[in-house]
Amino acid sequence: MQEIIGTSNKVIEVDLSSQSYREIPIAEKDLELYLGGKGLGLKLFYDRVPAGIDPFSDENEFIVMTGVYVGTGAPCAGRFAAVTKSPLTGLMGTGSCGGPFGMALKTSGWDGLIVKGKAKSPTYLVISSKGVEFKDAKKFWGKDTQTVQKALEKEGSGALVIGQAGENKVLYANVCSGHRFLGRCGMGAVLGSKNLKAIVAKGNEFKILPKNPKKFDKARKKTLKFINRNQITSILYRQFGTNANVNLSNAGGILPVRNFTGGSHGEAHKISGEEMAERFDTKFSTCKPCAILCGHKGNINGEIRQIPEYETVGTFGSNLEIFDPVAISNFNELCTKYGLDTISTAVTIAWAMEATEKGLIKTDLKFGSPDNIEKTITDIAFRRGFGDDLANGTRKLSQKYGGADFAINVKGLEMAAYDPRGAWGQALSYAVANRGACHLSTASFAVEVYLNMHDPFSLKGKGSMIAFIEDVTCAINSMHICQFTAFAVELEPFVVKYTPTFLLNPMITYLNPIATKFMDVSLWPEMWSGITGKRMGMFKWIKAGRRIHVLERYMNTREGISRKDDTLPQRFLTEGRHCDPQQRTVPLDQLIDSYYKARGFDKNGIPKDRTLKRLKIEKK
Amino acid sequence: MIPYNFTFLSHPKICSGLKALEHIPFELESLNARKPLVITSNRWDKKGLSKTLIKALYDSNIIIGALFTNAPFYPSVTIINELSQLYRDRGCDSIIALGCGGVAYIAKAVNMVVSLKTDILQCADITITSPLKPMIIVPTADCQGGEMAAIAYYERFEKQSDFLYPDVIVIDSRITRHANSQEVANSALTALAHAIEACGIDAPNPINDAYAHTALQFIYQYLQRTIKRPSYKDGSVAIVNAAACADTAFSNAPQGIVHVLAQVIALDTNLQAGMVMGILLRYYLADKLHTKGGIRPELLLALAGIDTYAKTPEKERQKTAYEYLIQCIDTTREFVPATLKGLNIPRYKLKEYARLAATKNKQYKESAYMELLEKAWEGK
Ligand code: SF4
Repeated sequence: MQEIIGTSNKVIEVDLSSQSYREIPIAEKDLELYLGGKGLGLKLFYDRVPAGIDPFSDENEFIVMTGVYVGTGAPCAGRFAAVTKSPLTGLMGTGSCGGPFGMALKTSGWDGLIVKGKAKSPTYLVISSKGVEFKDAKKFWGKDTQTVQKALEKEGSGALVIGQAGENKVLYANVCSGHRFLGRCGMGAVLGSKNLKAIVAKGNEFKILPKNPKKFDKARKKTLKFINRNQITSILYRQFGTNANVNLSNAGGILPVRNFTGGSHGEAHKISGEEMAERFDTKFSTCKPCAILCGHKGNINGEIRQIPEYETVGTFGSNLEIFDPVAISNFNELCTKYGLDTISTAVTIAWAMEATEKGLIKTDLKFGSPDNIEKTITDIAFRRGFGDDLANGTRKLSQKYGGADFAINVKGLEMAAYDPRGAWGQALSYAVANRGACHLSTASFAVEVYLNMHDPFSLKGKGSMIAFIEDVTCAINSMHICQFTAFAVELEPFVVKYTPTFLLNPMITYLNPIATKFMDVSLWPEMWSGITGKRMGMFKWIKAGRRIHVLERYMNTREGISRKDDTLPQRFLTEGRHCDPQQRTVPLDQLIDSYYKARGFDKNGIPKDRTLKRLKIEKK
Repeated sequence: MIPYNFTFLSHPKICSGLKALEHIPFELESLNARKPLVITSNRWDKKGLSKTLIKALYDSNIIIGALFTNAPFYPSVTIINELSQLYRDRGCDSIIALGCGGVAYIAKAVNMVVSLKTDILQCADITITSPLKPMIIVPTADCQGGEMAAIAYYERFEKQSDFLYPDVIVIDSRITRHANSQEVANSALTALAHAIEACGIDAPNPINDAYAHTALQFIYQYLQRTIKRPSYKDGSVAIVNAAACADTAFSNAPQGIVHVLAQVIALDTNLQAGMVMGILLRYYLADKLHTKGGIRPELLLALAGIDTYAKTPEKERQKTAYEYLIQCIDTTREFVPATLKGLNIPRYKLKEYARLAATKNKQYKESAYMELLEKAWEGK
């Protein structure tokens, strides 16, 4: 088998319109500045695609970048990133997926893939080190993700597939790889608009080796040690999956209940990871390779199924007041088949339930009742009847029918399963996140509520804390490694681990951003450095993360984003909750001011020229 | 020459200027009301405007039934129902809206609910046949258009009725001078667009024209100075008066192309409708100048006064009026870009906006909406 030392530094560009392809080199300088994965994907998009294009036009590009870690044996690195312009938000859409496609693409000799143009008829691609084959996908059109993946198994070791939702351009259709997804921002609809049903990568053609094996191995082993020592990664998530979050969120008052009107519920334990592990006799079913092992499958009604993740359980479960894990699993299976983002689907259904209750629309949907939900999911995927409207997401629905105050989205992207009123850092993070109400932009709820490292209701230090976590997260998603490794890498080093919480909390709250300077996140850049052979210190690495985040923001400001869009649904700004005796709402304006200051944005949320210059971002 | 026929209705009484707030007790009493529900927003409450209002009612027989200081920007069914309940629970008999935008829209919707004794969603299908509960608006200078008109906006509904005019509009500089320059610019541009569209219609209406002309006159005279210094008392009062006059003119004319498009775009982009109106208006006027009928030369009289009007040769009046109007729009340049492109509105969205506008208001064809949008986007 041939070898790639470090990275291949080339991506393959496929033009669907002319059925041609070519190799594009990646500049060494760009790799250093943008690290790989999401960062490089964004940089490529920025250089190649003008602002203001229609996400469904031929000009829109779908870029997949594998990152530096994948294939090297780095823990939890079987991941890849995708970048496109989202039809749901009209902004940059990015995603991270742990399916087998990333590994297959990288071991076919490509660091990434760019798809542009539009195929005349349904097509699928087979990519190998030799190039690209354009194949007729008519026989797959109209088929679900699982059937198509199965049929394509022989053509390569990893595939990206869309379901019927993507074909019908449901604005939040996802892209499936194995049993993992590029879930958010409607990437499936972009592929559907390009008549592209699937992309298969042959894989197993190259071996990926680090340039400096000794350095890499040292950092890798230490990371593994931390992962196996950390309570969250080695016990909580490993045993109960992400659904371990249910009980934590419920206790912390951030579990969404009844379309985000409440933050905890007496029946929540029924859908918790602990309960499901026992009831469904769960086994590991994870991204590969992975050392944390958060993904699980289990025996549900005599069928071996993937256990729904926390976001699915929170949004389809407590948020619809459904506490039957079997029903939630049924919804999850349907979304998987049709290729629908579970978060957006469920939050849109929650909107429909509340709008029905309030008399704005007429449907058979009711909180607490699983009846009609499966039919609604099918209607959405096929854009049938009212499903055609639901397929456009909560923002467009509320523009047409009213109910914007309970249309739970930011910038058009539906919110994940953490109520921002219970963690103001998370509230700020949702409001300013580049792709919309994204929980992965910082996952600050964990710092504030699960780990109690930052007072969830303090205004102090929130702006700089969120900016810091965003930088680190962007860097993580560009290496590319699972975000859950952050629990181990950030919390296990000596200073954080052995400082008692009663000291750590005020330090992070009142001494931020100084406190963040003491956080040791050097393991990640060390592994990157070991693989590429390039020098990468911790601060340079964090700066690269900042560069990626600010570039994405700048790209979004070219699409019209400014302070007016950095907001939350009215519900979070004006309505208190029963679970909070103080009936707190989010004081967003003050939070945003401190964030813009920490970020180097002007009062209107636009990156200042000097900020761009400092980060070596060329203004266009 | 008097037109063959026309209709005009302006219901509200305007109390404007020094100590206007102190008129409220008298106005309420003459409307046979004593216990108002006062609605305002958090922002105005924090700036002390509710205190100023309450102070003005001290030595009177007025008892404030309830003071709600958390009115959001979006007039949702939830908040309307909540406030309607509050109105009933406290036995209120009238409503005072302290503020513009969401505050005024919510107040009007609550008034419909409590007066018609029905659900807010039913209101859309009901024809209002009798006066609603007494309602006073105390506008701030961040008018979004329609607050003082015979129209109510709630959720995504729009309801027009002569009974939706407020009874009294109280314009007091202690209230109006708190908006910022951007808000003043938006208010002025909304008023400008409404006034121009109201007096640009084919069927002339001399009384409506008088209102529209007054609005134009105030804007031309005061906009520049008020934008520079929004706390300028006379200026902010004049801009709000202009908004009130323009709203009345708007209520007595069919909705124009600029208004309809701006509403559609604002809904989709979170931008202020006034800002979008300002941009569209520039291209609408340029277009109008070259079409048959063109810009009404009398606008020059309103904008520049009798001397300039008389001095300008008849043939030139249209063009000079146009130049004056563009000068007004240019005053807001610092806050409002010249094109829709400058607002970062993607070009591919224009088609959708034209389609939505054509569904909303069938008076113009989709192609006409599209033509204006294209011009405003490119700046041609
Ligand atoms: S921890 Fe979970 S999400 Fe992360 S790589 Fe492993 S299985 Fe995938």
